[in-house]
Amino acid sequence: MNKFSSLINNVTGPEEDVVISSSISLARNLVDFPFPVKFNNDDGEKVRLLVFDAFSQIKNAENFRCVCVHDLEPLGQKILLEREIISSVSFTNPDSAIAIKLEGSTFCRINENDHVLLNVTVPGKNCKTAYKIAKSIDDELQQYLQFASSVNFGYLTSDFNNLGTGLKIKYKLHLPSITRSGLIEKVFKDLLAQGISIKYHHNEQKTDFALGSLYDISNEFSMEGTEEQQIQKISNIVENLIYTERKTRNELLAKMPTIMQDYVQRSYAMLKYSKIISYEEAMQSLSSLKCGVDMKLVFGVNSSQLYSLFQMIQESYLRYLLKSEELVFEDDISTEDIKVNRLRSMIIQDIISKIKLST
Amino acid sequence: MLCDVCKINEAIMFVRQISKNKITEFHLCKECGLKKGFTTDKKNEFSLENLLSGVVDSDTDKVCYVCGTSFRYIKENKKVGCAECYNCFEKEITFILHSMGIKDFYTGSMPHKIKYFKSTLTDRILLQQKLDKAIEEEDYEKAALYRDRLKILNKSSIALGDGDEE
Repeated sequence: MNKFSSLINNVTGPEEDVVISSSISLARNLVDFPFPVKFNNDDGEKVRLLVFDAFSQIKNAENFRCVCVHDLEPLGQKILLEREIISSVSFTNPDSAIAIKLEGSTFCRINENDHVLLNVTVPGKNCKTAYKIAKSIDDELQQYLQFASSVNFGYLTSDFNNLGTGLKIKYKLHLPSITRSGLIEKVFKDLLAQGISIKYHHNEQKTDFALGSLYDISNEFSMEGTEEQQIQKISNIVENLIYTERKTRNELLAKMPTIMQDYVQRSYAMLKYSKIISYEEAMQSLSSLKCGVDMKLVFGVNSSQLYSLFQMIQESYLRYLLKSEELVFEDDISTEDIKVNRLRSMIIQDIISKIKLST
Repeated sequence: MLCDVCKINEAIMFVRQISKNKITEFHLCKECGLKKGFTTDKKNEFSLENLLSGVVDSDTDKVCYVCGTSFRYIKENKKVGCAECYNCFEKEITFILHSMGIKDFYTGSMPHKIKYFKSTLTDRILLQQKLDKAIEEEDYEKAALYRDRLKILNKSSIALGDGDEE
């Protein structure tokens, strides 16, 4: 039963009680081809081959695997979609592809909205490191590819939002206390005024609330200032959010200790004793449990383990496990849908088995 | 809720104005809204729609000479079709960016190699047109010449342009 813990990623990052991950993406286009929406004949294929070729020549090229999105089997596509490695736009172009490092934190979308979209994700609040990695790959690619630019507009991209540095800085935050205290509406307004976009994570599912209190925060435009200034601006804002979240957390705990204990322990009971659990239920409860870890009401599990659970219990990945692993289920767990929900609770219970509650 | 201006009538519209680092919100009744120029009547030169789209009177039928994207498309979608669009619609795009609140000059980094800025994209498209025409006129000698040059252009990933390489 204990084999699931080996699948859990245990890498930790700075400020990980609030910031799940930081990612940097760089949008680039080759000079000699129209942008993907305007591809003619075999433009898409040529761009793809040129970018694949560039990736095969860079340092540590053997770490990158290049594949066409349409060559993947449907389940593989869905897992990549779940992990935000490809987007739904990728399916509209027959020549869209990815170059991906095996551990999955660094990847490049080819022929999505732009010819090249390089993405680096690191755990915790660490955008500077992510940018360094992304920039070094960009520098290497530039030895083999000429990217379109102009003096007035910087790097040229299909979308005005990325025009300029082509840089998109995204922080994935877990804000249970701010959400619970109702401050989140004010946060939305404040960020909007500063040109920062905030979205519910997992927007593909179109919920009207943030499932698991997860939010994506990113810069709206890439035109103003240098790359470093853009990173600094959004980092300062995230710094403030971290401060507010921690302050609110302490206030909640001081003002209503019994209510918070109930909130956390109820979720723990749900995760520990349910046999069949849906994704939405699991996310909400795991989010409360994570809140309990931060409030020191729960011991025996850390933030990064819970964050990787967020990712592991997604639908398509569980379907993949069902196919590839030999798992034994009870007799009445017969259809695939119910097996997915059963497996989800098995994995969660394996990971949280060592949890102790404070009294 | 009462109108924020006259404080007598019931407010029927809600206006949120976003400028740099500041959001102003106010509720207006119909009369006060009209006085301030908020109307959805398209004929009115200063209607809400025109006000928001920024450009009141510009040539929306102009198209990019390389990829054929129309300015109307660019304005509506805030997206372009190719790198040359930025050259072709430079003034118009600067105007749109202004209306989106982007006013500063670009100060970030640039590609390592900036060659004479003439991409092979334009060359390729012109050559393709010449090739098609030559085939149509059954001038195969010329056609072969164009085809060979196209082949070379299609293979190069870095624009050779006519400028000096650094």
